[in-house]
Amino acid sequence: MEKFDLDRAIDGWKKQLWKQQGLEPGYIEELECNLRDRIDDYISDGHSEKEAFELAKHKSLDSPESLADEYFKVTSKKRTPPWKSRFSFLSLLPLNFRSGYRHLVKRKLYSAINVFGLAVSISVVFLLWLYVDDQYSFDRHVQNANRVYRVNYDLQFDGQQTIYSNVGVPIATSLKSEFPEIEEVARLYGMGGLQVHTGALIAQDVRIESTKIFYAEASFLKVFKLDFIAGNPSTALDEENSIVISASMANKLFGSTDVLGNTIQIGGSPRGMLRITGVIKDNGKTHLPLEALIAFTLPNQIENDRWLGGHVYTYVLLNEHNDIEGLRNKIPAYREKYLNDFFKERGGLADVLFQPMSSIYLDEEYMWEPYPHGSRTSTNVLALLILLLLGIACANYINLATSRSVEYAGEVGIRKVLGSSQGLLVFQFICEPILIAAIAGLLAILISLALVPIFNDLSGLQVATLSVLSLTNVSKIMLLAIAVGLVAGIYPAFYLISYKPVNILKGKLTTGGKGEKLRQVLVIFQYAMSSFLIIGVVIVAAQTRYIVHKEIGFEKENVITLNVHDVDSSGNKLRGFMNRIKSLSYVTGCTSSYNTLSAQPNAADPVFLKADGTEILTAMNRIDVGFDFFETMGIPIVDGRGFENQFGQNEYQSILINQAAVDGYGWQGYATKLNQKWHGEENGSANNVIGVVSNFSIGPSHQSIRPLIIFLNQWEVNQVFLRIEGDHMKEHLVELESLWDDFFPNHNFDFTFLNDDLNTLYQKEEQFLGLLSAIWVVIMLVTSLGIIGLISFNAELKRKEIAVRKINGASINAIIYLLSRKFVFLLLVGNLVAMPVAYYLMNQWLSNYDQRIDIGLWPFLFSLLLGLIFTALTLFYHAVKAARVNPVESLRYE
Amino acid sequence: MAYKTLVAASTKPLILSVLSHGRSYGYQIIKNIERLSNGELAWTDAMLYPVLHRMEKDGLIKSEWVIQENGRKRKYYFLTPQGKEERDESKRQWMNVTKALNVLWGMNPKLEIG
Repeated sequence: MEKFDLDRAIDGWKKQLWKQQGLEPGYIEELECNLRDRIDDYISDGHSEKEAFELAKHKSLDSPESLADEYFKVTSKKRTPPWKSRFSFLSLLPLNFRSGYRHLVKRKLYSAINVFGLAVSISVVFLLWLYVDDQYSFDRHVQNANRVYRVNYDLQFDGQQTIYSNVGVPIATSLKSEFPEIEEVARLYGMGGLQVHTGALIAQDVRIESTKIFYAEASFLKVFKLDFIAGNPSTALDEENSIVISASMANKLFGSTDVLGNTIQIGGSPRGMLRITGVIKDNGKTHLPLEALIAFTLPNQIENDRWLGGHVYTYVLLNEHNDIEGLRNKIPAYREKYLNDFFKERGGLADVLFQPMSSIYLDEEYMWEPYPHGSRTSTNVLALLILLLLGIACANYINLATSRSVEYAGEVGIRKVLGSSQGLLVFQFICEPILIAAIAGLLAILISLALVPIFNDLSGLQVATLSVLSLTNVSKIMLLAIAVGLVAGIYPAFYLISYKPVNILKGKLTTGGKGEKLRQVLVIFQYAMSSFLIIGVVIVAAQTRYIVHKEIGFEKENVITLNVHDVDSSGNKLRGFMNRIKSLSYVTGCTSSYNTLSAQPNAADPVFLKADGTEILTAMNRIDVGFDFFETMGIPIVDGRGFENQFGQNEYQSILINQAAVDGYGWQGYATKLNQKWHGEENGSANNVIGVVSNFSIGPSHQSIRPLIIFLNQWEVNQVFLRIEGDHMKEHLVELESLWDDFFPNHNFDFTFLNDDLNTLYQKEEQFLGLLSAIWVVIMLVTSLGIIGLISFNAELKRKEIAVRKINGASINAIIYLLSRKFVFLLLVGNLVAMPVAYYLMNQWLSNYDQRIDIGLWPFLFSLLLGLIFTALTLFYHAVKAARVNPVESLRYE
Repeated sequence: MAYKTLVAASTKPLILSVLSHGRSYGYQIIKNIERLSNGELAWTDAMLYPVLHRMEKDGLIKSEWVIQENGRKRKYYFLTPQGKEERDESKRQWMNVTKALNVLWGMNPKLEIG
């Protein structure tokens, strides 16, 4: 057993007393004498030292606190001693905020930088959050959404795989009869067909065009739970000629939603009147926005045995078990039973895929999607950037706060000496960032208000400016701000209180040296982020530019597209109108087409016949055009000839193919000697290949150009293309419209510029680019603000060094170099960190495109250069200011 | 044990009276009082020292640190003139009380009762 050391025991006992607030050293000394006397007495009574100590201790006092209480009672007029008063952190808040406020006011520039940097970041984070949240929330609100799947076709012809968003008509019925776990199936297709996908509804004299009108089976209302304002969802589409419309459509047509039983006509269709049997609320954020559903029943509208062609969108609702994997496992047997023979005969393969409804909107777009999608990659990237931007805002705060910590050191020292606990100090120093963050939050609300219009422009969302002031949004911003304040404040608070009071009070701390490493890491992080973003922005911009300005094989400028799909295009009237137009002096070309040029064309599987009778199964795209198409569009014919009117009816037996078909199937030299037929057709009715056109892209230009077969079609016309001489476009349009009205008084003159149509294909890229650029601007701004703060701090620390150097003859350049070299070094490191990551991620992004740019070296050089310029601009002012100070001024401080 | 109120009321007169015989220190005072009261008044340190402190502040007693032969220090208290007056006054009051009680507890207190 250890020997009992009386002195040590007494020291321990004294320490207990020292800890008690209210016991002064003199009291304790006297009590120690008392204790020692007692111990002596006990020892002389025959007790051991240890026993004597224990007994004396016990006799002397119960607890240090009760002793302190007694002292307090006799010395102070107050009732309760401070250690007894009820204590709460809350009661300190006003005090701490006041001291925080004093710090803010004392350092105005520093505070302004901090508040402004935080406010901008918070406001941008908030707006991006709105966007990301919007993108992720598609279809989430639909009841049963997790049990609804869209059926997609995965078709392969000649090794060419295409996934279709719609499937053959019999798929729905066969799935339902085969699998009991499928509770319900529903089919629908868009009015106006897959190419044009626009229809018109007419009520009295109001005519509304919409891309959101669908023909749907009655079961659709069981699969998609729509919110009915009026009408009965279980019967609304049961009867022929029923129509369910959305509230907004009802308002547009009738100016009211109380329209049950009213009648509507379909534009350009002989079909009779439709009776409104239901009004639904607008179905919100969904991959399938609906303005009208028209009842249809099979087999009236579509043949029931067409596995290929005439596709319809097909949705299934699974039963409660929702065992989609189980269902997928049974599909091979289903394919064997229904699909394999049919497709093998045509040289192809087919599979059905089930796509969860809630993921459709962010998944890639398959063939014939009814609406464009968002992009999951871009949304994820933006979500990640939100986090990083928050990180940068915090890093900035930490940098500035720790660099300023010397100023607080004195206060920390005094407070510690006066007996403040660690917890209280941390609490005090966390109140300050929270105060800053709260002010920043208020400012962020104002900034958000100002940014909403720009944000709407960039993102394509329609956020009402004043909605920023709604309670949820304001509390979102404030919560965000305070969370940032907390996260950013914790480290500096602990950092500050870690100072030893002895050192502080002796004046041993002259620089904030301890935090230097961390600050450097954080600055590197900020530089890396901004470098990463600028590389991203440059590459996305380059790719977007590339696909927008890419040679697409035809001349898209100065072409007007007239949408004529609901005038009776098979009649002579349209041809009369086109002939009239051709006679105008400024119209240099006029043609018609079944297909638009801004969407992927139909797929087809024609059979080609060589001269010796060999059959070649192919997978191609198909378009149907009128006379003069190639001349008007400026597409050169590289072999043979184009369609010519002089050959009369025979010309409808003629087809053209594109260069990609010739290259792909190795038909060089004899392409124009080929014939073409369809599966199951007699060779006798075959078409003749009369020419080969050079490649041109239809739809997004970043997709590879596939083999194409081109038919002459004068009866099904959706568009008329006019090539106009560039000048006086406005006057020409007025004249064209009046001509149109002469020919078609009951139809709107509905035109677009082909160039604009094509550019809408790249909206997604433009949006992504816009948002990325905006984030980059903010990050650069915040980083620059942070660096301004750091450099002015550094200059202050080195004030004497600078003065001494100047006296010894250093030039201003040398001083600037002294102050800025560190930041240039950090910039370089930051760039080095960012480059590989940026290279990897951007390569991933680019792999979404068939036609893509090579990344090359220059985005990286550009990022480095831009970083240098920004740093130089930021540093320059402060460095020059510091370098130019008269050394006498600096040294006089001593 | 003595009543709490009695202890509280008697502390100051007792200390003043002990010190009127000469200087003393805290532990010694405690021991003396304990012996004189046959253990009835067992003061704790937590009670005595704050009172001494208070009395010094009020100018009734003074203190000084004395270094003893064995090197240990000890804080001695002694009366000031003001303390002496205070002791006399409290003595007079306490005597009155004792006299009254003695008569009452005697054989013939001559009381007007009823």
